[in-house]
Amino acid sequence: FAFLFTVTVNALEGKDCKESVKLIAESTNLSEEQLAFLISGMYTLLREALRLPLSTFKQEVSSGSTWSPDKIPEDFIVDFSSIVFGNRRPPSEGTALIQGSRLPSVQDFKWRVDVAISTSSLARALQPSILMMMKLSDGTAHRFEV
Amino acid sequence: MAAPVVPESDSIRRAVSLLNAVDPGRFPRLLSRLLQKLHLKAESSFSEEEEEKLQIAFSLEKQDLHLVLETITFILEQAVYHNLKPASLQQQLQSIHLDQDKAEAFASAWASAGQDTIEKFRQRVLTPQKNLKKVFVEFSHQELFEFYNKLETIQAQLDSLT
Repeated sequence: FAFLFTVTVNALEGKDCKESVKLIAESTNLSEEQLAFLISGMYTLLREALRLPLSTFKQEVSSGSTWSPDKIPEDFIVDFSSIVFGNRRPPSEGTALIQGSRLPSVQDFKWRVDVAISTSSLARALQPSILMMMKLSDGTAHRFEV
Repeated sequence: MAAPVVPESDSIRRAVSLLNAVDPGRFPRLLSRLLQKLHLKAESSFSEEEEEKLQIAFSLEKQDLHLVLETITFILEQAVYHNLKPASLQQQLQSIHLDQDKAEAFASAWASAGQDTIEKFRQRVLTPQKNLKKVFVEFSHQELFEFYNKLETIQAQLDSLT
């Protein structure tokens, strides 16, 4: 159990776990399917637990509903709790914040100011216009006139 | 004033004689109305109904009315193009033999609504296509500050033009 647990926590903290998972797969006699179940189950459980702010969660735990002993063995609960409430929480939280979906940022911004000197309707127009070209971090480019 | 702004062609001469015959009382209002809609030249200024009323009011046949309206519009567009002062406009019109009271009416209407009309034409220049699309972008504090500075630079450039 401990091994699986460590791997899951590492995943939450953003570390690459391919090697560790391979090691586990080779050292136990659990089927691939069971392994997948266990790891993804723990991952999801911990991720959901981390989602809730500390204050909300403490209340639920004290009311005894979340970690029912018949579903999860006692000693495992201790480990889970230590991650969610203990001092190993910040790294997992930090990773979650960084990896969350975000809006693109501006990568490149070019502009120019033009002046229309004369047009068919005005001999002396002197009308400025601005042309902008914006490249965003998600790869899109936008060209527009102001 | 170098070359005349309103050429003395046959249709202009005909239009001028029609204009001179028109009742001066309603003339100023007609001018204002045409001035207001000048920048929207694509749509004609008057509906079928309104045109019929004008025909009666000015005792003009349909074709003559059209000539008169087109000529007034042309004169006003020329005033816009050359950015004429009201006095110059009046002078030009009198030199093609428009009656003084009508020329004065032109000058007066131009004096009050001329600059606004010219502005509308200025703005019409740059916007044939305004396809608005919303784009969402996220800025860090640093990025926002840099973007703000770039916009300030652009604004400074614009200000230095005037």
